[in-house]
Amino acid sequence: MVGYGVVDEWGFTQPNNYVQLFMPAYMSSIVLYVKYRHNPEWDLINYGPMPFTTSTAYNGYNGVGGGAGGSPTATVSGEIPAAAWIKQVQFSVPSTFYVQGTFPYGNTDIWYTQNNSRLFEVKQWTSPSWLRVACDVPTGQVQETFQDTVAGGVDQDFGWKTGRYYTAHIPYIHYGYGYGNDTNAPVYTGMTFRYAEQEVSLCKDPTLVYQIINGLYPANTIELPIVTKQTQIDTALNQAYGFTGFPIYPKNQQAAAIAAYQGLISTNPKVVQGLI
Amino acid sequence: MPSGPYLEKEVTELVTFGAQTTVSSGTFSLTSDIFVTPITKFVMPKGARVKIWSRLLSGPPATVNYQFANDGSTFRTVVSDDLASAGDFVTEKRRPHIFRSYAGTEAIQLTYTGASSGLATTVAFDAEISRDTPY
Repeated sequence: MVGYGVVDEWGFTQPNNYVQLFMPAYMSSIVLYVKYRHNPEWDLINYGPMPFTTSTAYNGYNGVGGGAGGSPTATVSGEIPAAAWIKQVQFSVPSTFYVQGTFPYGNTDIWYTQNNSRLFEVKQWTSPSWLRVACDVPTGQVQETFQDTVAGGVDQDFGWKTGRYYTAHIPYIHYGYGYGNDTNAPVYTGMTFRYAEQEVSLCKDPTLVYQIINGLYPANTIELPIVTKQTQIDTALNQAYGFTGFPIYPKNQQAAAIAAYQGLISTNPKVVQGLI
Repeated sequence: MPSGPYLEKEVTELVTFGAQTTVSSGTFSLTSDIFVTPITKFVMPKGARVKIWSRLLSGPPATVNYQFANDGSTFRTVVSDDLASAGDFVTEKRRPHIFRSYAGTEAIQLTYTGASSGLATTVAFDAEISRDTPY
């Protein structure tokens, strides 16, 4: 829905606005201009049961939810067993979907793309809503830590949200979601997505980049769950945007920041080739 | 992460638990639309609160006890409903009964006494399960 704010009623970036993807591990931001949205007004996906089967491998909680560890198993598709958690979940095209055409990058991860002018802003709600939810980027890389040393996640007492999650999917990398059911009830699951499939380009005005990063120009900010650097993330960022982001400068170093941003833009291979 | 104000509140789940007596006294086997198999007690999510907003008791006479256990096994009765004669007993609460979980071991179970061994008495209650910790 086009309006006057930076974000719409769901928190998604409105067209003709900017979004900043801040990555704590890199102390940098990707600043993108949102040209338009490919799915205006139809942002809902009733995904259905989560992509679990009776052969899905779960891990058991020990001490919460009446669990005693081990490897719980589901008896029906879409079930998450009692006192069980799972990581590295990707959302394949569900069997309950009638889909005309094929997904360009395979059917195992609907949020994956190799189109660097696309950005998916994705919100999800789980049923039941007491499920723990976390996100690893790339899939398998724990991105929830405490003082750099203690890992968090759905299998731990911290490092997760309850029943919902909001993030942006950048191209060329698979995210892995984690879910945990810390009750003794085996439950049928359900998933609802709202998403914005944004057509974007890199912001190439170094002064505007400085202003957006420092909050001097209105823009949406999404803090990506990336607190640990990883080679796959470097590769994805370079493939998508030609660099690993604009480094953060303090507000009192405006001249240095703009000069650095100008250099990053003018030497960016994707920009030089007109690909972003 | 900036997000809409409504997102700052943790989402909650409303679940209708239901069960029927099978003998003259015992522990209910609880079911609901999202449970794959029935459970005889509900171990609460760690850090959550269960708020019981309404209770139903229907059928032949029976007494139902809502019990809570911090350790998941040592139950004590918190609320009782007594259906003295055949019929319906419905209670809707402006303020819910609240059960809290801090350790992740806390559990709720329902027991019954005085039921007919031939006819089933139905119990149901609506519970809100949330981690909407107000601090």
